[in-house]
Amino acid sequence: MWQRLRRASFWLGMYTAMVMAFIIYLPILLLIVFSFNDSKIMSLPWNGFTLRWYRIAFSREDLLHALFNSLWVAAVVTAVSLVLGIMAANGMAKYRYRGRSLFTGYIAIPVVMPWLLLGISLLLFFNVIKVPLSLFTVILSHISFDVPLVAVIVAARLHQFDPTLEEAARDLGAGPIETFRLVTLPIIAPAIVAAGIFAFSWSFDAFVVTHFVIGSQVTFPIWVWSALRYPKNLPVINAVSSIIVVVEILIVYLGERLRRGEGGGVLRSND
Amino acid sequence: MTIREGLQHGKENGLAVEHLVKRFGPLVAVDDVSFSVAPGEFFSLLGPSGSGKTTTLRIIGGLTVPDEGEVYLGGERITYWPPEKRDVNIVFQNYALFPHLTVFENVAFGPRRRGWPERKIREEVTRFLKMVHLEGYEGKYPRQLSGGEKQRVALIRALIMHPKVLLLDEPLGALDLKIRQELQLELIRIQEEVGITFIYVTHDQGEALTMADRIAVMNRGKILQIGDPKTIYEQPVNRFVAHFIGNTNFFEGQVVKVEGGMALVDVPGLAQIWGVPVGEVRAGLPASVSVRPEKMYISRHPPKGGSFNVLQGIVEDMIYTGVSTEFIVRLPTGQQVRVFAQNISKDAEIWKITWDEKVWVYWRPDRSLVFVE
Ligand SMILES: Nc1ncnc2c1ncn2[C@@H]1O[C@H](COP(=O)(O)OP(=O)(O)OP(=O)(O)O)[C@@H](O)[C@H]1O
Ligand SMILES: [Mg+2]
Repeated sequence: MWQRLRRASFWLGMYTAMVMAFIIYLPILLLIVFSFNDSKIMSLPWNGFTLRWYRIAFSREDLLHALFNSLWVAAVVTAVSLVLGIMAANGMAKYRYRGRSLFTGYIAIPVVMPWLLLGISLLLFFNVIKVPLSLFTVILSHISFDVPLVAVIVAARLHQFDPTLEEAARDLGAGPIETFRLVTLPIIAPAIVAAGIFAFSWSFDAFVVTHFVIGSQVTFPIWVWSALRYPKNLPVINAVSSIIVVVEILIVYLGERLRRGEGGGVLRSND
Repeated sequence: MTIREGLQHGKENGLAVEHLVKRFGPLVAVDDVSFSVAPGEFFSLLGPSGSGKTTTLRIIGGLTVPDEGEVYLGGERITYWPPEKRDVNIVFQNYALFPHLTVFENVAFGPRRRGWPERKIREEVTRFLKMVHLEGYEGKYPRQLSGGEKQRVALIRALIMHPKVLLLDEPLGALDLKIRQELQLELIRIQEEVGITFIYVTHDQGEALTMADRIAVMNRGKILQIGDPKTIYEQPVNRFVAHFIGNTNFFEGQVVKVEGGMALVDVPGLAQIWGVPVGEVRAGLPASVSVRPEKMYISRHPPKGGSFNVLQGIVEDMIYTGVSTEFIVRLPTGQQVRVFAQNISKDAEIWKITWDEKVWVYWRPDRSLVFVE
C-alpha cells in the first residue's frame, strides 16, 4: 500500500489519503472513541470516560465463546492454507509446463468469486455429500478461499525469485528439502508472513460464507450480526471491535516491519 | 595420445564427457559434445553467445540432464547423479550469492552441508577470504558488495569445497576491463595454488588464450576444435575458428590448383594467393584465404626476392598503440586489410609511411591458410 502511494504522484497520494481518512480512518477512530463513552447510545453528547463496556464484553460467555471459535478456526485455516497455498504457488511460478496458465487460473479464480456465490455453492455441496454443518464445514469453506489467496501472494514473490539460487544450494551439497528450508523459504518469508496475515484476517472476518455453512455454531462475525438486533448490545460490540481493530493494526505493522527487513535481521538462518 | 586414449584417461582420472546431446524442442543446444580434462588442467570452453557452453557446464554440474551421452568423473559414471552428490562445483554467471546470508555464511554454506566442525569452518572461511583479499567482509551482505567482490565470494564459496572440478561460467563477464584483467591473474594464481581442475566458460577469446592450458571452441552446440592456445591460434581447423580467435584478414576466391602441399587461390580483381590448405581443398572449390595481421609486412617498396604473396594498396589509417602500429590498407577491390608492425626502432623505414601513401603488403605463403566450406 505505502509503496504504491510512493509511486503515484504526490497530489494523487494526498487526495487518496484524505479520502481514506474520511471514509475509513475517521469512522474507526469514532468507533474507538465512543467505546469509552459512558452512554448506551453511540452519539454525542460525551457522557464521560468509562471502561464499563469492556468489562461487560469480557464477562459475556456467548461473546467469548464466539471469539474463541473465530480465533481457532482462523488459526487452523491459516496453517492449512499456508501449506497448500505455498505448494500451489510453486506450481504456478516455478515450473514451466503445458497448461500452466490454466492451472494458475484454476487456483486463482476463487479469490475473485463473489462471497454469496461461494457460500451458496458450498452449502449445496455439503448438503449433497451429506456433511452436517459445523465449525468443520466452516474451516473447509475458509480454506477454499484462503488457499488461492496465499497462492497468489506467494507466487507473486516467487516470480521474482532467482532459480539459480536454488541450483547454487544444490550444487553446494544441499538436498531438495534442505534447499527449500535454507534458501527458498527465508527469501520468500516476507511474502509468507504477509499471506499468513491476510489469510488469518480473511477467515476471522468472513461473514457471508460462514453464515451459509455454520449451522448452529457461532463465530465472532455471526455473533456481532445477531447481537446487532438488540440496540443495548451496541456499546459492547463497539468495545470488542475496538480491541480487534487495534490488534489488527499491530499485526499489519509488525508484518510490514518483517517485510521491510527483507530477512536481513529477523529471519537470518544460520544452521 | 589419441582422442580415444585421452577420453579413456579422462574417464579414469579426471573428467570426461562423451557424445553429450541436449535438445530444447527443435533446437539442439548441445550436439554430440565429447572431451576430457586431465586433473589440474585449466580447460576453457570458448564460443559465441548461444553456442551451448552453459548447457554443457550445467550437464557436468548435474543441473541439466542430457538427452544422450555420459559424464565420467574419477572413473565413475555420474551422468544422472543429483548435483549435491557430485564432487564438482559451479561459479555461476550471475554469482547467485544467497541474499539473506552474510559473506561468511555464504562461504560456509557448503562446509555446513558437509558437517565440518565449527572450528574448521571458521578457519577455512577465514583462510579463503584472505586468499581473495576480503578479510573483514565476513558480516557484510551481498547487496553491500561491488561486482568484483561478489565475484570473489562466489569463487571461494565453490573453491572451499575442494571439488575435483570447478566449473566457472563466464565468471568475469559482467566486470569492467581493469578488474577483469586483475581477476584473470588472480584466478590463474589461485588455480595453481589449489591445483583444482578448472573448466572455464567464456566468449572472450583473449581471456581463453591467456588463461587456459587447452581450449575447446564451440559453435551451434558442436565442438569445432580442441587444442592448446597456440595450436588454436596458429592452426585453426576451419574458417569459423580462424575468424573467432584473434584478428584475421580474409580473402574470398576460388581454388586454382593444389600442388607441393600448397594451394593457389584466385581472388577476383586482386591477385592469386598461395596458402596452406586446411581440410579437403580441391581445385575449383570456393575458398577463403586467411592471414593474421602480425604475419604481414608493410613497405613503401615491393619485396626484393623471396617468395611472397604480394598486394598493393593505399594507407587509409594508422593506429599507434605503443608496442605496435596497426595499418589499415585499402586494396584496389575496396577491401581493407589490417597489418601490425612492431615498433622495433623509431628510425625504421616503416615510420616514413603516411596517410594515403601507396604501399605494398606481403607475407610468406606458409603464413596463410586456405579454407573451403
Ligand atoms: N532451459 C532452456 N529452454 C530452452 N532453450 C534453452 C534453455 N537453455 C538454453 N537454451 C538454448 O540453448 C542454446 C544454448 O544455450 P547456452 O545457455 O548453453 O548458450 P551459451 O553458449 O552459454 O551462451 P551465452 O554465451 O549467451 O551464455 C541457446 O540457443 C539457448 O537459447
Ligand atoms: Mg552462458
